[in-house]
Amino acid sequence: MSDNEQVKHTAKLARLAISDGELPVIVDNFNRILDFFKIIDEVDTEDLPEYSHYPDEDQHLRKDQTVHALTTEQALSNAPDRQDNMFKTPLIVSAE
Amino acid sequence: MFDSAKSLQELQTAITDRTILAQELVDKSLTIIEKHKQLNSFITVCSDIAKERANWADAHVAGGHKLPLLGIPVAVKDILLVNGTRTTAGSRILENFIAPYSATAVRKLVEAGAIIVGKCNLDEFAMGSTNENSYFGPVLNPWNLDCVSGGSSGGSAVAVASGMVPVAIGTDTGGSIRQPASFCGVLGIRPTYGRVSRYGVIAYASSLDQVGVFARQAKDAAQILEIISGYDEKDGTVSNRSVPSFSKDLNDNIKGLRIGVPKEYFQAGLNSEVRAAIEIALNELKKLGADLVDIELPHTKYAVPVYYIIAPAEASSNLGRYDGIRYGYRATSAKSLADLYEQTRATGFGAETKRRILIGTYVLSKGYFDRYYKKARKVQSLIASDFSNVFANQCDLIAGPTVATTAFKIGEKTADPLAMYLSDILTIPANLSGLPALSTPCGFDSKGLPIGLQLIGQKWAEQTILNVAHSYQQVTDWHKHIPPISRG
Repeated sequence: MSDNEQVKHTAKLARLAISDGELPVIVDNFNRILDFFKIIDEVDTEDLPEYSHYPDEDQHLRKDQTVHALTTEQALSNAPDRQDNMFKTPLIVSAE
Repeated sequence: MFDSAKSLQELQTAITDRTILAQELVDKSLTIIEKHKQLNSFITVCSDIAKERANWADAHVAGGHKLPLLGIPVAVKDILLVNGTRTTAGSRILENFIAPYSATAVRKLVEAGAIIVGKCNLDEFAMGSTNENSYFGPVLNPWNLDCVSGGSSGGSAVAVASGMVPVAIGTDTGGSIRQPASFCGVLGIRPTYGRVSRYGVIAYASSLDQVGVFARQAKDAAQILEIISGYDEKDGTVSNRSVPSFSKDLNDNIKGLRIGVPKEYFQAGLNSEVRAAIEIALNELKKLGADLVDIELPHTKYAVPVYYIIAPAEASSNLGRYDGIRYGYRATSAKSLADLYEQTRATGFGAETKRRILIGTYVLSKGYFDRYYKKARKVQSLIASDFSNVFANQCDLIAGPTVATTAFKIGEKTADPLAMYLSDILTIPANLSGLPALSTPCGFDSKGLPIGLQLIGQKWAEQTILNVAHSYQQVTDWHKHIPPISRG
């Protein structure tokens, strides 16, 4: 089962802010869902492989050749903030 | 409106013969979309581009050129990128995102002459079964405006059901084509995993997502499916198998086909009117010469928990890219880069999306990976083996209800995520096993809400399930019924 701290830790990993007001509902839902997952514990999976849709098919790869992808302008076209040919972000390290 | 009176081929012939202009078809589509705006089926209507393309199509016809879908209006779920057009995935976080390229499936439709009239509403990032999770509001069921359309491809299903377009494309990760098809009284097909390229499809769960088709008639779905299918070097999971001519090879001879009827799909929880309609439908298939075989799929009960471990796990990785840096919504009050990520995602995503990201992150995290994700992947092997065992020994395809109920009221299940998840029990197993499956209309309940018959085929056997649906449609008329708001 999950408690407040575990959910907050998971949210940190997921880069999701959770307010104190949201937390109780999220924790409650989380616990109900994790409880629901318990049913798979009854299955003996000791010698089972992990599933793959096509275990016997070779993966086909494209040729190792440079191909045209997006232009710089296309790549920047949806940027929330940009400067010249760069995406602009807040400071990573504060000035202090 | 676009109904089953004319097939795609007949519409295309009428355009080629100049009995009707592409401009007239597109104008008709746009008029009906506007008339039924309340259904909220579209997030973006591409009027100007569609009209320009219609002019091009008519000039193309006048020049003596032919293309298989020339001038046909098509709707596209707003999770497939369309170059130069807003693509939102039903989310605030992509509210103003303009796609810099088109999905392969979209490109193939456009190359075949189709005209995209708009981008359809959906549950945010394809996460949902009712289309109530969209940032742009719910989609209403044209059979009863108080009821859900189903999801996540609700907008696409409604666009076909209400006659706005003859065909639409959507995606199906856990039932998101079949379930809204069942709720809205149209045919919806999800092909074998690896049949259609996912390039340009905004990813939810990469091992489960597949692009599929909505139509009224099996032959129209077959035609669209063969156009969008096939090898794509931009998607490493697409098979390089040749694509059958689904529409040319469509036939209505199902004599001797063995149709498996799983006992697990007829248990407690199945609405009695749905059960009755399915039993009548199965009897029709028997009268057509198919043999019905009782089968068991004993690991069915694990499908929903396995899905809701694997899909959110994949989603938590796929949605990590939405961080407000290179595209999409960016929170404005962040104090640092880390805070920017957290605030952007907290305010950019809806509740269900955040819930699935959290679940997915948890089941992949240190200390829980083996217990949840790895375990689920192993149980998935058993679910898939259930199907391969019956297909090897007992039957050629499987039939049963698509959903245990008909469409429920808007708001009825939003407070209880688990109740919502459990409603996917009948569709999820095919996704976990990579199998093709479709839903075709087979009746109505006493409230006038549609019921869907699900057909699940062996891998790469879309032709078989399309043939059965086509045969069924030759002796029934459920797929021809029009919602009351669309009549007259």
